[in-house]
Amino acid sequence: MRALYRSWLLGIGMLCVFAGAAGSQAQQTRSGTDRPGSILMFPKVVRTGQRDTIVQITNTGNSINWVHCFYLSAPDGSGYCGAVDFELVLTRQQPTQWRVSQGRRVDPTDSFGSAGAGFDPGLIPPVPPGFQGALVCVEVDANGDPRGQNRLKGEVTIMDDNTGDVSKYNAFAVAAVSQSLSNPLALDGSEYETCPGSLTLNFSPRGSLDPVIEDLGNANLNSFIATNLTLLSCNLDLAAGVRSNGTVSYIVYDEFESPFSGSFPHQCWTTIDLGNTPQTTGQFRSTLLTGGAIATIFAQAQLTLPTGLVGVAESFHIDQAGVTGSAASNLHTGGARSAAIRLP
Amino acid sequence: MWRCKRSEGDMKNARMAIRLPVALLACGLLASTAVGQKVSTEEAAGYLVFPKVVVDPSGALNGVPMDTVIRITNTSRDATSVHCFYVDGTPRCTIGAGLDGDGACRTNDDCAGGGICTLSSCQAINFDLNLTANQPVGWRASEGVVTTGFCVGGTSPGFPCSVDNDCTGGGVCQAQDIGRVPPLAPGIFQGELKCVQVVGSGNDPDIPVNRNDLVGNASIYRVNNAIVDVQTYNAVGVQAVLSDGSTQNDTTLVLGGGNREYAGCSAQVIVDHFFDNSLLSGAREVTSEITLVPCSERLEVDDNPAVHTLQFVVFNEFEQRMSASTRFRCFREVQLSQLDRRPGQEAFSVFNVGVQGTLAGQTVIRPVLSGDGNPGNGILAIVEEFHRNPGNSAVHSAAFNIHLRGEKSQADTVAY
Repeated sequence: MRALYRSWLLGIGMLCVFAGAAGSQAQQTRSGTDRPGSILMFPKVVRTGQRDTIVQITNTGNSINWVHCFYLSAPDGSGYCGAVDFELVLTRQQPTQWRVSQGRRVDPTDSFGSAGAGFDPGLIPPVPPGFQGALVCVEVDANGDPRGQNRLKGEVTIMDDNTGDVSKYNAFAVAAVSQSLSNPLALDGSEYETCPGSLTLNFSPRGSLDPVIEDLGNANLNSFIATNLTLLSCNLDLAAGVRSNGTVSYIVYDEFESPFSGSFPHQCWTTIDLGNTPQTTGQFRSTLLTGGAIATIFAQAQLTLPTGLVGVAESFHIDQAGVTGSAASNLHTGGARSAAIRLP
Repeated sequence: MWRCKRSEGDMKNARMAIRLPVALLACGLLASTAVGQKVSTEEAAGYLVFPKVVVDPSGALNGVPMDTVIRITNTSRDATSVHCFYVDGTPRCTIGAGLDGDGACRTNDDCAGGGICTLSSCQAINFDLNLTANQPVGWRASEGVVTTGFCVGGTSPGFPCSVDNDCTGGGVCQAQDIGRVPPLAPGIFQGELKCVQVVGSGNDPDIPVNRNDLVGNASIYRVNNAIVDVQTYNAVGVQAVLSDGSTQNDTTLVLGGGNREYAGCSAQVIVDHFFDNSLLSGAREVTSEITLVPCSERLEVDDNPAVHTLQFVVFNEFEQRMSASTRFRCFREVQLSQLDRRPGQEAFSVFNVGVQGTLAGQTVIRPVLSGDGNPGNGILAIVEEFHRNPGNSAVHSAAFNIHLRGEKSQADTVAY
């Protein structure tokens, strides 16, 4: 009996060790914008007017990493997301970068310190003028099958080449939790981590006066804050395009704790000027503007998602002469939603 | 005898019946504490760190006035109290008035009379906030919060006020008292902000409480009549291991390790960056600055902050590896290519494009474990990118959060 009892305790101890190890592993591989992962999602990539984007991707591991990437865009607003794909090969610990308007050529003669210097990761196509969309990159093996090394991280720099303005955010990295991966990629917590189930946005309602510009800059009660929100669905059919529709529900709280609720539609990729569309006019707009409901400068929006979504916010701070400073920020996340990504 | 033996067996069975669930419960607790809680820049937490807050209303530091807007949001349906500390990391002259009359300086040249510009200790200033359910709050670090409401209506809705006359254009002042935040102006301030979710009432209202409800971000402004430059980063959230609303025992936060109350700081920090002086275009030359703060800190009582040693491993796009190291105490803001070279020698730094030859780099930062019994050596950081037009010297900037990898085996502590 005693031996049986000890074997029970030993078994429980072993279970604890495995549970702790698994927990530790899970703790280190959860998805987000501050840890490497196996799927990178850049929700906002633009080449519009005077704005251009530099993408940075880094292999944080000590072995070679094959990466399959897809530019997504929804140019006609129909909900169909077309994809253009390309492949990267990153050697151990290799960082790489490219300007999306130029792509990156394979040219070993690039001069020292130039944009193309370094091991070329592969031929990266440029995006056309007017491009607005997203970039999704997946760790694969040499055959193109999904592989979960959790070694990719990335950043995006959005630049205004006329004014010099710049904003920057981190890519959302989805971690693999299994070595047994298949296509479509299951972001369900068993193959890959899930996507967020809710997003929290700290923002200033559209039309708010900017208190810093009012005090230090050129304003006279004519400064202006606007916020752009970009969302990317985690349910992506990269083989046949995506035609997904859904509704994002939100509750906005101002500093008086007053709640304002509403919803707006989203497709596979959605970008929205908060407070400047019929679905968000009152709830995201300052009382300084017609129809605005938010009386305070600081507010939060809690977005509830029917399916997994990731997003990024970009705020624009404008003085009375139109001089603009922008700042991008990653959204805060909570909860979990399962999703699937189908590779070609 | 038979009864006795049977009774002994029953007792063994009874002991086993007790020990087994206890063992399973302990196992469950171990697993539950190992999973989930983390240091994160995107999830709600019970302890927030804003690594960089800067106030320079006169523009003495770099020619353009600077201020920081801080936002903290309670994501819970329950009210909460928050105990915060500004930690002053401003270098000051040992002799001389410095740039702001209070000794703030950048280099020894800013100190009259042969004074030395140094950061000897980081003084902390504390304050309390009371947040209602789901309440977002924000304030300018230069002004703090010294009023008791916000203007409603008129031409300046949302601006702070105490009476109706504070509001322009016929607005009225509606009461909403979140507490008092000390203003950091009129002098220069560079440092960090740390906020802990606390009980908020009773004999010791500053005791931490096991909840994870806070998110925050900070926007650093450089503004004058011709320039509007704004950068935003998310506060680093350190999640409490338990989130059941229970009260902790003391005002020492244990981050990581065996007796953890909060998630542990990461073993490594990873920064993707452009090498300093990279030309992204003819009109865009980039440099980066990193702001480092320690995970361990003795707030209010530390005249001699611990020295932290950091090792840097730098990779370029040729997969070539170089290394560097540096030390800091309680706060350090430094251009990457001045981590291993003195000002004026940046062109010889391993963080410079002239040395590396490629635009993009990856730097892995590892805090060196101390062997002197002081376990606190974890770090947190943010990075700022400055894009300068060589033609007209106009500067625009962006901030971003760094990546974290692994968890330190040793605990960090924050005491106040």
